[in-house]
Amino acid sequence: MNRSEISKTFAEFLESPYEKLRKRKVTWGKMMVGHLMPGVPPEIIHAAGMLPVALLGSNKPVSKVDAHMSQSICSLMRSNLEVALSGDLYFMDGIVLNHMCECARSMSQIWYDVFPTRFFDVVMLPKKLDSSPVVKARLMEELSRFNTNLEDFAGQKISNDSLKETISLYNQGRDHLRKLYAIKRDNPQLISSRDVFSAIKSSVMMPKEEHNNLLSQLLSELESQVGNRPVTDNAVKVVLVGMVIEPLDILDIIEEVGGYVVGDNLSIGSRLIASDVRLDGDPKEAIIDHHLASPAFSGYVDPRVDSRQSLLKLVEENQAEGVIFVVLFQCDPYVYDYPDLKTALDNSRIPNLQIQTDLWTTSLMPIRTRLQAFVERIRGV
Amino acid sequence: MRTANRTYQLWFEIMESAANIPSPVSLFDLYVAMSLVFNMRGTQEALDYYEKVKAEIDERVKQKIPVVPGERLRLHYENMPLWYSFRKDRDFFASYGVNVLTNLYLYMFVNHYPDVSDPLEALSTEYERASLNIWGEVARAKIICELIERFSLNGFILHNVRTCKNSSGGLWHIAKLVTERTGIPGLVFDADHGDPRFYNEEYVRGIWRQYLEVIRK
Repeated sequence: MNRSEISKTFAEFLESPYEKLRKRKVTWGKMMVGHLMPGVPPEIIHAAGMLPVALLGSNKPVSKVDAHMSQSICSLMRSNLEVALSGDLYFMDGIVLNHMCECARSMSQIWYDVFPTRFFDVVMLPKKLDSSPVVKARLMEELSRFNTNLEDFAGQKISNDSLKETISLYNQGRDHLRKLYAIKRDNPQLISSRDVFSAIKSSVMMPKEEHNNLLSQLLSELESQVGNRPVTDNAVKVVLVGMVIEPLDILDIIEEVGGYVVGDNLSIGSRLIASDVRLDGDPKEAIIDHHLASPAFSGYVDPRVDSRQSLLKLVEENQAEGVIFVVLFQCDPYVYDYPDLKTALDNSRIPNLQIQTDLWTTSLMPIRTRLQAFVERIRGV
Repeated sequence: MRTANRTYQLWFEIMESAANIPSPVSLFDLYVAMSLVFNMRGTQEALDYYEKVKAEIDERVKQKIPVVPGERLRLHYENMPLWYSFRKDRDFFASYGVNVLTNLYLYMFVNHYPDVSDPLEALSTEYERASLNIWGEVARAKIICELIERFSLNGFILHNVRTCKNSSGGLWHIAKLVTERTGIPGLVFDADHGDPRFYNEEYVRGIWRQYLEVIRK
Protein backbone atom coordinates (compact mmCIF):
# COMPACT_ATOMS: atom_id res chain seq x y z
CA MET A 1 0.00 0.00 0.00
CA ASN A 2 1.16 3.54 -0.63
CA ARG A 3 1.00 6.26 2.01
CA SER A 4 -2.35 7.68 0.98
CA GLU A 5 -3.89 4.21 1.05
CA ILE A 6 -2.42 3.58 4.50
CA SER A 7 -3.68 6.91 5.87
CA LYS A 8 -7.05 6.13 4.34
CA THR A 9 -7.04 2.73 6.05
CA PHE A 10 -6.46 4.37 9.45
CA ALA A 11 -9.10 7.04 8.82
CA GLU A 12 -11.70 4.55 7.59
CA PHE A 13 -11.04 2.28 10.55
CA LEU A 14 -11.66 5.17 12.94
CA GLU A 15 -14.94 6.07 11.25
CA SER A 16 -16.49 2.83 12.54
CA PRO A 17 -13.90 0.91 14.57
CA TYR A 18 -16.30 -1.34 16.46
CA GLU A 19 -18.13 -2.44 13.33
CA LYS A 20 -14.85 -3.25 11.61
CA LEU A 21 -13.57 -5.20 14.60
CA ARG A 22 -16.85 -7.11 14.85
CA LYS A 23 -16.61 -8.17 11.23
CA ARG A 24 -12.96 -8.98 11.67
CA LYS A 25 -13.63 -11.23 14.62
CA VAL A 26 -15.76 -13.57 12.58
CA THR A 27 -12.77 -14.82 10.64
CA TRP A 28 -10.03 -13.91 13.06
CA GLY A 29 -11.11 -16.16 15.89
CA LYS A 30 -9.30 -14.30 18.67
CA MET A 31 -11.00 -12.94 21.76
CA MET A 32 -11.29 -9.16 22.05
CA VAL A 33 -11.11 -7.17 25.27
CA GLY A 34 -12.10 -3.51 25.48
CA HIS A 35 -10.22 -1.40 28.00
CA LEU A 36 -10.00 2.14 29.28
CA MET A 37 -6.80 4.06 28.99
CA PRO A 38 -4.44 5.29 30.29
CA GLY A 39 -3.70 2.89 33.12
CA VAL A 40 -4.72 -0.54 31.85
CA PRO A 41 -1.63 -2.14 30.28
CA PRO A 42 -2.67 -3.56 26.88
CA GLU A 43 0.50 -5.66 26.75
CA ILE A 44 -0.86 -8.07 29.39
CA ILE A 45 -4.11 -8.54 27.44
CA HIS A 46 -2.22 -9.12 24.22
CA ALA A 47 0.15 -11.60 25.88
CA ALA A 48 -2.90 -13.58 27.00
CA GLY A 49 -3.68 -14.15 23.34
CA MET A 50 -6.44 -11.54 23.01
CA LEU A 51 -6.84 -8.28 21.16
CA PRO A 52 -6.83 -5.24 23.48
CA VAL A 53 -9.13 -2.53 22.13
CA ALA A 54 -8.99 0.92 23.75
CA LEU A 55 -12.46 2.25 24.56
CA LEU A 56 -12.47 5.70 22.99
CA GLY A 57 -16.19 6.22 22.50
CA SER A 58 -17.43 7.44 19.16
CA ASN A 59 -18.20 10.72 17.45
CA LYS A 60 -21.90 9.89 17.18
CA PRO A 61 -24.33 11.91 19.33
CA VAL A 62 -25.63 10.08 22.40
CA SER A 63 -29.21 9.27 23.35
CA LYS A 64 -29.43 6.07 25.40
CA VAL A 65 -26.85 6.99 28.01
CA ASP A 66 -28.98 9.85 29.36
CA ALA A 67 -31.16 7.27 31.10
CA HIS A 68 -28.16 6.16 33.15
CA MET A 69 -25.59 8.91 33.55
CA SER A 70 -25.49 12.58 34.40
CA GLN A 71 -24.71 15.12 31.72
CA SER A 72 -21.99 16.37 34.03
CA ILE A 73 -19.96 13.31 33.08
CA CYS A 74 -17.47 13.87 30.25
CA SER A 75 -18.38 12.93 26.70
CA LEU A 76 -15.65 10.29 26.51
CA MET A 77 -17.20 8.19 29.27
CA ARG A 78 -20.77 8.93 28.25
CA SER A 79 -19.96 7.97 24.70
CA ASN A 80 -18.25 4.76 25.83
CA LEU A 81 -21.36 3.70 27.72
CA GLU A 82 -23.55 4.79 24.79
CA VAL A 83 -21.57 2.53 22.46
CA ALA A 84 -22.14 -0.36 24.87
CA LEU A 85 -25.85 0.43 25.31
CA SER A 86 -26.29 0.64 21.53
CA GLY A 87 -25.12 -2.94 21.18
CA ASP A 88 -22.03 -2.00 19.18
CA LEU A 89 -19.74 -3.84 21.61
CA TYR A 90 -21.64 -7.08 21.93
CA PHE A 91 -18.83 -8.94 20.17
CA MET A 92 -16.42 -8.04 23.00
CA ASP A 93 -15.42 -10.98 25.20
CA GLY A 94 -14.26 -8.82 28.05
CA ILE A 95 -14.09 -5.30 29.40
CA VAL A 96 -11.42 -3.80 31.64
CA LEU A 97 -12.12 -0.44 33.26
CA ASN A 98 -10.31 1.72 35.79
CA HIS A 99 -10.88 4.64 38.13
CA MET A 100 -8.56 7.15 36.49
CA CYS A 101 -11.03 9.98 37.21
CA GLU A 102 -14.48 10.47 38.75
CA CYS A 103 -16.16 10.13 35.36
CA ALA A 104 -14.45 6.79 34.73
CA ARG A 105 -15.36 5.63 38.24
CA SER A 106 -18.94 6.57 37.71
CA MET A 107 -19.10 4.74 34.41
CA SER A 108 -17.38 1.64 35.72
CA GLN A 109 -19.94 1.30 38.52
CA ILE A 110 -22.77 1.15 35.99
CA TRP A 111 -21.07 -0.68 33.16
CA TYR A 112 -21.41 -4.28 34.26
CA ASP A 113 -25.04 -3.78 35.20
CA VAL A 114 -25.96 -2.62 31.71
CA PHE A 115 -23.39 -4.52 29.67
CA PRO A 116 -22.26 -7.76 31.30
CA THR A 117 -19.44 -9.53 29.50
CA ARG A 118 -17.87 -12.91 30.12
CA PHE A 119 -14.80 -11.17 31.53
CA PHE A 120 -14.99 -7.95 33.52
CA ASP A 121 -12.34 -6.30 35.63
CA VAL A 122 -11.64 -2.92 37.15
CA VAL A 123 -7.94 -2.22 37.53
CA MET A 124 -7.41 0.03 40.53
CA LEU A 125 -4.08 1.80 40.30
CA PRO A 126 -2.70 4.19 42.94
CA LYS A 127 -3.58 7.80 42.23
CA LYS A 128 -0.38 9.08 43.75
CA LEU A 129 2.63 8.13 41.70
CA ASP A 130 6.20 8.12 42.88
CA SER A 131 8.96 5.55 42.97
CA SER A 132 8.43 4.61 46.62
CA PRO A 133 8.33 0.88 47.47
CA VAL A 134 4.72 1.19 48.67
CA VAL A 135 3.49 2.48 45.30
CA LYS A 136 5.48 -0.10 43.36
CA ALA A 137 4.29 -2.90 45.62
CA ARG A 138 0.66 -1.83 45.20
CA LEU A 139 1.07 -1.62 41.42
CA MET A 140 2.62 -5.08 41.35
CA GLU A 141 -0.14 -6.49 43.55
CA GLU A 142 -2.86 -5.08 41.31
CA LEU A 143 -1.24 -6.02 38.00
CA SER A 144 -0.57 -9.54 39.29
CA ARG A 145 -4.20 -9.88 40.33
CA PHE A 146 -5.34 -8.65 36.93
CA ASN A 147 -2.84 -10.95 35.23
CA THR A 148 -4.18 -13.98 37.13
CA ASN A 149 -7.81 -13.11 36.38
CA LEU A 150 -6.99 -12.77 32.73
CA GLU A 151 -5.12 -16.08 32.70
CA ASP A 152 -8.11 -17.83 34.25
CA PHE A 153 -10.38 -16.36 31.59
CA ALA A 154 -8.03 -17.04 28.69
CA GLY A 155 -7.34 -20.56 29.94
CA GLN A 156 -3.65 -20.07 29.39
CA LYS A 157 -0.70 -18.85 31.41
CA ILE A 158 0.98 -15.59 30.46
CA SER A 159 4.63 -16.53 30.45
CA ASN A 160 7.39 -13.97 30.91
CA ASP A 161 8.62 -14.82 27.43
CA SER A 162 5.26 -14.17 25.80
CA LEU A 163 4.87 -10.91 27.74
CA LYS A 164 8.32 -9.81 26.64
CA GLU A 165 7.46 -10.70 23.06
CA THR A 166 4.36 -8.52 23.31
CA ILE A 167 6.31 -5.68 24.91
CA SER A 168 8.78 -5.85 22.05
CA LEU A 169 5.91 -5.63 19.56
CA TYR A 170 4.42 -2.64 21.37
CA ASN A 171 7.84 -0.98 21.63
CA GLN A 172 8.18 -1.37 17.88
CA GLY A 173 4.82 0.36 17.43
CA ARG A 174 5.83 3.19 19.76
CA ASP A 175 9.12 3.57 17.89
CA HIS A 176 7.33 3.78 14.55
CA LEU A 177 4.92 6.38 15.86
CA ARG A 178 7.73 8.48 17.36
CA LYS A 179 9.46 8.45 13.97
CA LEU A 180 6.22 9.42 12.25
CA TYR A 181 5.70 12.26 14.72
CA ALA A 182 9.28 13.49 14.19
CA ILE A 183 8.81 13.49 10.43
CA LYS A 184 5.66 15.57 10.82
CA ARG A 185 7.36 17.97 13.20
CA ASP A 186 10.37 18.54 10.96
CA ASN A 187 8.54 18.32 7.61
CA PRO A 188 5.07 19.63 8.32
CA GLN A 189 3.98 19.62 4.69
CA LEU A 190 4.80 15.97 4.18
CA ILE A 191 1.88 14.57 6.17
CA SER A 192 -1.10 16.15 7.89
CA SER A 193 -1.49 16.30 11.66
CA ARG A 194 -4.77 14.47 11.27
CA ASP A 195 -3.04 11.57 9.55
CA VAL A 196 -0.44 11.40 12.32
CA PHE A 197 -3.00 11.46 15.11
CA SER A 198 -5.21 8.99 13.23
CA ALA A 199 -2.23 6.65 13.15
CA ILE A 200 -1.74 7.10 16.90
CA LYS A 201 -5.42 6.68 17.73
CA SER A 202 -5.88 3.62 15.55
CA SER A 203 -2.76 2.06 17.11
CA VAL A 204 -4.65 1.43 20.35
CA MET A 205 -7.58 -0.25 18.64
CA MET A 206 -6.27 -2.19 15.65
CA PRO A 207 -4.37 -5.48 15.89
CA LYS A 208 -0.84 -4.38 16.77
CA GLU A 209 0.98 -6.63 14.30
CA GLU A 210 -1.09 -5.29 11.44
CA HIS A 211 -0.77 -1.69 12.59
CA ASN A 212 3.00 -1.95 12.93
CA ASN A 213 3.22 -3.36 9.44
CA LEU A 214 1.22 -0.47 7.99
CA LEU A 215 3.31 2.04 9.92
CA SER A 216 6.48 0.44 8.65
CA GLN A 217 5.33 0.85 5.03
CA LEU A 218 4.19 4.41 5.69
CA LEU A 219 7.51 5.34 7.26
CA SER A 220 9.64 3.90 4.48
CA GLU A 221 7.77 6.00 1.91
CA LEU A 222 7.84 9.16 4.01
CA GLU A 223 11.50 8.78 4.92
CA SER A 224 12.40 8.71 1.25
CA GLN A 225 10.69 12.09 0.83
CA VAL A 226 12.09 13.82 3.91
CA GLY A 227 13.78 17.09 3.04
CA ASN A 228 12.28 17.26 -0.44
CA ARG A 229 9.76 19.89 0.55
CA PRO A 230 10.55 23.13 2.33
CA VAL A 231 9.03 24.00 5.69
CA THR A 232 6.49 26.78 5.39
CA ASP A 233 8.11 29.85 6.90
CA ASN A 234 5.13 31.43 8.49
CA ALA A 235 3.32 28.34 9.83
CA VAL A 236 2.77 28.80 13.55
CA LYS A 237 4.10 26.01 15.73
CA VAL A 238 1.72 24.95 18.46
CA VAL A 239 1.71 22.47 21.31
CA LEU A 240 -1.51 20.68 22.29
CA VAL A 241 -2.40 20.01 25.93
CA GLY A 242 -5.13 17.66 27.13
CA MET A 243 -6.21 14.06 27.21
CA VAL A 244 -7.53 13.46 23.71
CA ILE A 245 -8.15 15.69 20.73
CA GLU A 246 -11.71 15.16 19.64
CA PRO A 247 -13.08 15.48 17.11
CA LEU A 248 -9.99 15.05 14.93
CA ASP A 249 -11.36 17.73 12.55
CA ILE A 250 -9.78 20.27 14.92
CA LEU A 251 -6.39 19.19 13.62
CA ASP A 252 -7.48 20.05 10.08
CA ILE A 253 -8.66 23.45 11.25
CA ILE A 254 -5.36 24.19 13.01
CA GLU A 255 -3.53 23.56 9.73
CA GLU A 256 -6.08 25.40 7.60
CA VAL A 257 -5.69 28.55 9.67
CA GLY A 258 -1.91 28.40 9.42
CA GLY A 259 -0.75 26.43 12.42
CA TYR A 260 0.84 23.05 12.86
CA VAL A 261 1.34 20.74 15.78
CA VAL A 262 4.95 20.26 16.90
CA GLY A 263 4.31 18.66 20.27
CA ASP A 264 1.64 17.57 22.73
CA ASN A 265 1.07 15.83 26.02
CA LEU A 266 -2.15 14.07 25.03
CA SER A 267 -2.85 10.62 26.43
CA ILE A 268 -3.81 9.54 22.92
CA GLY A 269 -0.78 11.34 21.60
CA SER A 270 2.81 11.82 22.69
CA ARG A 271 2.22 10.48 26.20
CA LEU A 272 1.41 7.13 24.66
CA ILE A 273 4.66 6.91 22.75
CA ALA A 274 7.02 8.88 24.97
CA SER A 275 9.16 5.92 25.98
CA ASP A 276 9.50 2.17 25.62
CA VAL A 277 9.04 -0.56 28.18
CA ARG A 278 12.43 -2.09 28.91
CA LEU A 279 12.94 -5.69 27.86
CA ASP A 280 15.37 -6.82 30.53
CA GLY A 281 14.35 -8.21 33.91
CA ASP A 282 10.82 -9.01 35.06
CA PRO A 283 8.34 -7.82 32.40
CA LYS A 284 5.62 -6.81 34.88
CA GLU A 285 8.15 -4.74 36.80
CA ALA A 286 9.16 -3.17 33.50
CA ILE A 287 5.52 -2.25 32.77
CA ILE A 288 5.25 -0.68 36.23
CA ASP A 289 8.47 1.30 35.76
CA HIS A 290 7.15 2.49 32.41
CA HIS A 291 3.88 3.54 34.04
CA LEU A 292 5.80 5.49 36.69
CA ALA A 293 8.11 7.08 34.14
CA SER A 294 5.37 8.20 31.74
CA PRO A 295 4.79 11.94 31.36
CA ALA A 296 2.37 13.56 33.79
CA PHE A 297 -1.31 12.75 33.40
CA SER A 298 -3.78 15.03 35.15
CA GLY A 299 -5.67 12.08 36.62
CA TYR A 300 -2.68 11.21 38.81
CA VAL A 301 -0.83 13.10 41.50
CA ASP A 302 2.86 12.97 40.80
CA PRO A 303 4.96 14.85 43.37
CA ARG A 304 8.09 14.19 41.30
CA VAL A 305 6.88 16.31 38.42
CA ASP A 306 5.95 19.99 38.20
CA SER A 307 3.53 19.87 35.29
CA ARG A 308 3.95 23.62 34.72
CA GLN A 309 7.69 23.21 34.20
CA SER A 310 7.11 20.12 32.03
CA LEU A 311 4.82 22.14 29.78
CA LEU A 312 7.26 25.04 29.53
CA LYS A 313 9.99 22.56 28.65
CA LEU A 314 7.79 20.95 26.00
CA VAL A 315 7.19 24.38 24.46
CA GLU A 316 10.88 25.31 24.57
CA GLU A 317 12.17 22.01 23.19
CA ASN A 318 9.84 22.23 20.21
CA GLN A 319 10.30 25.99 19.75
CA ALA A 320 6.52 26.26 19.86
CA GLU A 321 4.96 29.69 19.52
CA GLY A 322 1.70 28.91 21.26
CA VAL A 323 -0.21 26.36 23.31
CA ILE A 324 -3.73 25.11 22.65
CA PHE A 325 -5.56 23.42 25.52
CA VAL A 326 -7.98 20.91 24.01
CA VAL A 327 -10.24 19.95 26.86
CA LEU A 328 -13.35 17.82 26.85
CA PHE A 329 -16.31 19.47 28.56
CA GLN A 330 -16.60 18.14 32.14
CA CYS A 331 -13.07 16.65 32.09
CA ASP A 332 -12.25 17.71 35.63
CA PRO A 333 -8.60 16.61 35.85
CA TYR A 334 -7.66 18.92 32.98
CA VAL A 335 -10.04 21.69 33.98
CA TYR A 336 -8.47 21.68 37.46
CA ASP A 337 -4.94 21.88 36.04
CA TYR A 338 -5.76 24.57 33.52
CA PRO A 339 -5.49 27.69 35.74
CA ASP A 340 -2.02 26.72 36.98
CA LEU A 341 -0.77 25.82 33.53
CA LYS A 342 -2.23 28.97 32.01
CA THR A 343 -0.61 31.15 34.65
CA ALA A 344 2.76 29.52 33.99
CA LEU A 345 2.39 30.17 30.26
CA ASP A 346 1.20 33.74 30.77
CA ASN A 347 4.12 34.46 33.07
CA SER A 348 6.46 33.21 30.35
CA ARG A 349 4.56 35.28 27.75
CA ILE A 350 3.58 32.19 25.76
CA PRO A 351 0.27 32.73 23.90
CA ASN A 352 -2.32 30.14 24.81
CA LEU A 353 -5.91 29.29 24.06
CA GLN A 354 -8.40 26.87 25.57
CA ILE A 355 -11.04 25.16 23.47
CA GLN A 356 -13.61 22.78 24.91
CA THR A 357 -15.39 20.12 22.92
CA ASP A 358 -17.48 17.00 23.23
CA LEU A 359 -16.66 13.90 21.21
CA TRP A 360 -19.71 14.61 19.06
CA THR A 361 -19.16 18.34 18.58
CA THR A 362 -20.13 19.10 15.00
CA SER A 363 -20.47 22.85 15.08
CA LEU A 364 -16.83 23.70 14.59
CA MET A 365 -17.18 27.21 13.15
CA PRO A 366 -16.80 28.99 16.52
CA ILE A 367 -13.70 26.89 17.20
CA ARG A 368 -12.33 27.75 13.76
CA THR A 369 -12.82 31.47 14.41
CA ARG A 370 -11.02 31.26 17.74
CA LEU A 371 -8.15 29.22 16.32
CA GLN A 372 -7.79 31.59 13.39
CA ALA A 373 -7.70 34.60 15.71
CA PHE A 374 -5.17 32.82 17.90
CA VAL A 375 -2.82 32.04 15.01
CA GLU A 376 -3.18 35.56 13.60
CA ARG A 377 -2.41 37.04 17.01
CA ILE A 378 0.82 35.05 17.17
CA ARG A 379 1.75 36.03 13.62
CA GLY A 380 1.07 39.64 14.47
CA VAL A 381 -1.38 40.01 11.63
CA MET B 1 -12.87 4.81 69.70
CA ARG B 2 -15.18 3.33 72.29
CA THR B 3 -16.75 6.77 72.73
CA ALA B 4 -17.01 7.04 68.93
CA ASN B 5 -18.79 3.69 68.80
CA ARG B 6 -21.32 4.77 71.43
CA THR B 7 -21.82 8.04 69.56
CA TYR B 8 -22.30 6.19 66.28
CA GLN B 9 -24.83 3.84 67.90
CA LEU B 10 -26.88 6.81 69.13
CA TRP B 11 -26.62 8.48 65.71
CA PHE B 12 -27.80 5.29 64.04
CA GLU B 13 -30.77 5.03 66.43
CA ILE B 14 -31.64 8.69 65.78
CA MET B 15 -31.65 8.06 62.01
CA GLU B 16 -33.70 4.91 62.49
CA SER B 17 -36.29 6.78 64.57
CA ALA B 18 -37.50 8.31 61.30
CA ALA B 19 -39.15 4.94 60.60
CA ASN B 20 -41.86 5.87 63.12
CA ILE B 21 -45.19 7.02 61.69
CA PRO B 22 -45.49 9.94 62.05
CA SER B 23 -41.77 10.58 62.12
CA PRO B 24 -40.34 12.60 65.03
CA VAL B 25 -37.49 13.90 62.84
CA SER B 26 -36.97 15.06 59.30
CA LEU B 27 -33.93 14.85 57.08
CA PHE B 28 -33.43 18.58 57.64
CA ASP B 29 -32.98 17.92 61.38
CA LEU B 30 -30.56 15.11 60.58
CA TYR B 31 -28.51 17.25 58.18
CA VAL B 32 -27.97 19.72 61.00
CA ALA B 33 -27.32 17.04 63.60
CA MET B 34 -24.81 15.12 61.49
CA SER B 35 -22.01 17.65 61.86
CA LEU B 36 -20.88 16.36 65.25
CA VAL B 37 -20.80 12.69 64.35
CA PHE B 38 -18.83 13.61 61.24
CA ASN B 39 -16.43 16.06 62.77
CA MET B 40 -16.28 15.39 66.54
CA ARG B 41 -16.82 11.67 66.74
CA GLY B 42 -14.94 10.27 69.72
CA THR B 43 -15.38 13.39 71.89
CA GLN B 44 -17.48 13.54 75.05
CA GLU B 45 -19.22 16.67 73.71
CA ALA B 46 -20.54 14.76 70.71
CA LEU B 47 -21.70 11.86 72.87
CA ASP B 48 -23.49 14.24 75.27
CA TYR B 49 -25.16 16.00 72.35
CA TYR B 50 -26.54 12.81 70.80
CA GLU B 51 -27.74 11.56 74.18
CA LYS B 52 -29.79 14.75 74.53
CA VAL B 53 -31.11 14.50 70.97
CA LYS B 54 -31.99 10.84 71.42
CA ALA B 55 -33.86 11.57 74.69
CA GLU B 56 -35.86 14.32 72.97
CA ILE B 57 -36.71 12.07 70.03
CA ASP B 58 -37.75 9.20 72.32
CA GLU B 59 -40.11 11.58 74.06
CA ARG B 60 -41.57 12.74 70.76
CA VAL B 61 -42.08 9.13 69.67
CA LYS B 62 -43.79 8.35 72.95
CA GLN B 63 -46.13 11.29 72.57
CA LYS B 64 -46.50 10.78 68.80
CA ILE B 65 -45.42 14.35 68.06
CA PRO B 66 -44.80 14.68 64.31
CA VAL B 67 -42.11 16.92 62.91
CA VAL B 68 -44.38 17.62 59.93
CA PRO B 69 -47.96 18.09 61.14
CA GLY B 70 -50.37 16.06 59.03
CA GLU B 71 -47.57 14.03 57.46
CA ARG B 72 -48.98 12.69 54.17
CA LEU B 73 -46.00 11.67 52.07
CA ARG B 74 -42.63 10.28 53.10
CA LEU B 75 -39.59 10.67 50.84
CA HIS B 76 -36.01 9.60 50.36
CA TYR B 77 -33.70 12.43 49.21
CA GLU B 78 -30.28 11.48 47.87
CA ASN B 79 -27.06 13.51 48.23
CA MET B 80 -26.42 16.83 49.86
CA PRO B 81 -29.08 19.47 50.49
CA LEU B 82 -29.17 22.88 48.87
CA TRP B 83 -27.42 24.50 51.83
CA TYR B 84 -28.17 28.02 50.59
CA SER B 85 -31.88 27.22 50.38
CA PHE B 86 -32.09 24.94 53.41
CA ARG B 87 -34.85 26.56 55.47
CA LYS B 88 -36.94 27.41 52.41
CA ASP B 89 -36.76 23.82 51.20
CA ARG B 90 -37.73 22.47 54.59
CA ASP B 91 -40.75 24.78 54.66
CA PHE B 92 -41.61 23.94 51.04
CA PHE B 93 -41.89 20.21 51.70
CA ALA B 94 -43.65 20.71 55.02
CA SER B 95 -46.24 22.96 53.35
CA TYR B 96 -47.24 19.99 51.18
CA GLY B 97 -47.37 17.64 54.17
CA VAL B 98 -44.25 15.94 52.90
CA ASN B 99 -41.62 14.64 55.26
CA VAL B 100 -38.21 13.95 53.79
CA LEU B 101 -36.67 11.26 55.97
CA THR B 102 -33.78 9.28 54.61
CA ASN B 103 -30.52 9.93 52.81
CA LEU B 104 -27.39 7.87 52.21
CA TYR B 105 -25.12 10.88 52.70
CA LEU B 106 -25.81 10.56 56.42
CA TYR B 107 -24.20 7.12 56.44
CA MET B 108 -21.37 7.96 54.10
CA PHE B 109 -18.54 8.90 56.40
CA VAL B 110 -19.56 7.13 59.58
CA ASN B 111 -19.14 3.52 60.60
CA HIS B 112 -19.00 1.46 63.71
CA TYR B 113 -15.49 0.26 64.61
CA PRO B 114 -15.96 -3.51 64.92
CA ASP B 115 -12.90 -4.22 67.06
CA VAL B 116 -11.08 -1.46 68.91
CA SER B 117 -8.38 -3.64 70.47
CA ASP B 118 -6.04 -2.62 67.63
CA PRO B 119 -6.97 1.00 66.81
CA LEU B 120 -4.98 1.23 63.59
CA GLU B 121 -6.46 -2.02 62.34
CA ALA B 122 -9.92 -0.74 63.30
CA LEU B 123 -9.35 2.49 61.36
CA SER B 124 -8.18 0.54 58.29
CA THR B 125 -11.17 -1.77 58.49
CA GLU B 126 -13.53 1.18 58.78
CA TYR B 127 -11.88 2.78 55.76
CA GLU B 128 -12.42 -0.41 53.78
CA ARG B 129 -16.07 -0.55 54.85
CA ALA B 130 -16.77 3.17 54.44
CA SER B 131 -19.68 3.48 52.09
CA LEU B 132 -18.01 6.23 50.12
CA ASN B 133 -15.22 3.84 49.20
CA ILE B 134 -17.23 0.73 48.41
CA TRP B 135 -20.68 1.75 47.29
CA GLY B 136 -21.44 1.76 43.64
CA GLU B 137 -24.66 2.74 41.89
CA VAL B 138 -26.07 -0.78 42.06
CA ALA B 139 -25.38 -1.07 45.79
CA ARG B 140 -26.86 2.38 46.46
CA ALA B 141 -30.03 1.45 44.56
CA LYS B 142 -30.35 -1.70 46.65
CA ILE B 143 -30.01 0.24 49.90
CA ILE B 144 -32.55 2.86 48.78
CA CYS B 145 -35.00 0.02 48.04
CA GLU B 146 -34.44 -1.28 51.58
CA LEU B 147 -34.98 2.19 53.03
CA ILE B 148 -38.19 2.59 51.05
CA GLU B 149 -39.50 -0.55 52.68
CA ARG B 150 -38.14 0.01 56.19
CA PHE B 151 -39.21 3.67 56.41
CA SER B 152 -42.52 3.27 54.51
CA LEU B 153 -41.52 5.78 51.84
CA ASN B 154 -43.71 6.95 48.97
CA GLY B 155 -41.04 8.35 46.67
CA PHE B 156 -37.43 9.36 46.14
CA ILE B 157 -35.74 12.51 44.90
CA LEU B 158 -32.14 12.34 43.71
CA HIS B 159 -30.05 15.50 43.66
CA ASN B 160 -27.56 15.61 40.77
CA VAL B 161 -24.88 17.68 42.48
CA ARG B 162 -23.03 19.30 39.61
CA THR B 163 -19.76 19.61 41.53
CA CYS B 164 -19.78 16.09 43.00
CA LYS B 165 -19.58 13.66 40.12
CA ASN B 166 -18.53 10.92 42.50
CA SER B 167 -21.93 10.84 44.15
CA SER B 168 -24.01 12.03 41.21
CA GLY B 169 -22.67 10.57 37.97
CA GLY B 170 -24.95 7.55 37.96
CA LEU B 171 -28.11 8.84 39.67
CA TRP B 172 -30.24 8.18 36.58
CA HIS B 173 -29.18 4.55 36.69
CA ILE B 174 -30.02 4.39 40.40
CA ALA B 175 -33.47 5.88 39.71
CA LYS B 176 -34.08 3.33 36.98
CA LEU B 177 -33.10 0.40 39.22
CA VAL B 178 -35.14 1.59 42.21
CA THR B 179 -38.26 2.17 40.10
CA GLU B 180 -37.87 -1.24 38.44
CA ARG B 181 -37.66 -2.93 41.84
CA THR B 182 -40.24 -0.96 43.82
CA GLY B 183 -42.60 0.39 41.17
CA ILE B 184 -42.19 3.84 42.72
CA PRO B 185 -41.26 6.64 40.30
CA GLY B 186 -38.28 8.79 41.21
CA LEU B 187 -37.07 12.24 40.31
CA VAL B 188 -33.55 13.42 39.45
CA PHE B 189 -32.97 17.17 39.48
CA ASP B 190 -29.93 19.30 38.65
CA ALA B 191 -28.46 21.77 41.13
CA ASP B 192 -25.51 22.02 43.47
CA HIS B 193 -25.08 21.78 47.22
CA GLY B 194 -22.77 24.77 47.53
CA ASP B 195 -22.74 26.75 44.31
CA PRO B 196 -26.04 28.58 43.76
CA ARG B 197 -25.00 29.41 40.19
CA PHE B 198 -26.14 25.88 39.32
CA TYR B 199 -29.47 26.43 41.10
CA ASN B 200 -32.60 27.71 39.45
CA GLU B 201 -35.32 28.03 42.06
CA GLU B 202 -38.14 28.19 39.56
CA TYR B 203 -36.98 25.04 37.79
CA VAL B 204 -36.29 23.07 40.98
CA ARG B 205 -39.51 24.04 42.74
CA GLY B 206 -41.45 23.39 39.53
CA ILE B 207 -40.27 19.84 39.09
CA TRP B 208 -40.55 19.10 42.82
CA ARG B 209 -44.19 20.22 42.69
CA GLN B 210 -44.88 18.14 39.60
CA TYR B 211 -43.23 15.13 41.18
CA LEU B 212 -45.23 15.46 44.39
CA GLU B 213 -48.40 15.62 42.29
CA VAL B 214 -47.40 12.39 40.54
CA ILE B 215 -46.72 10.40 43.69
CA ARG B 216 -49.69 11.91 45.55
CA LYS B 217 -51.97 10.42 42.91
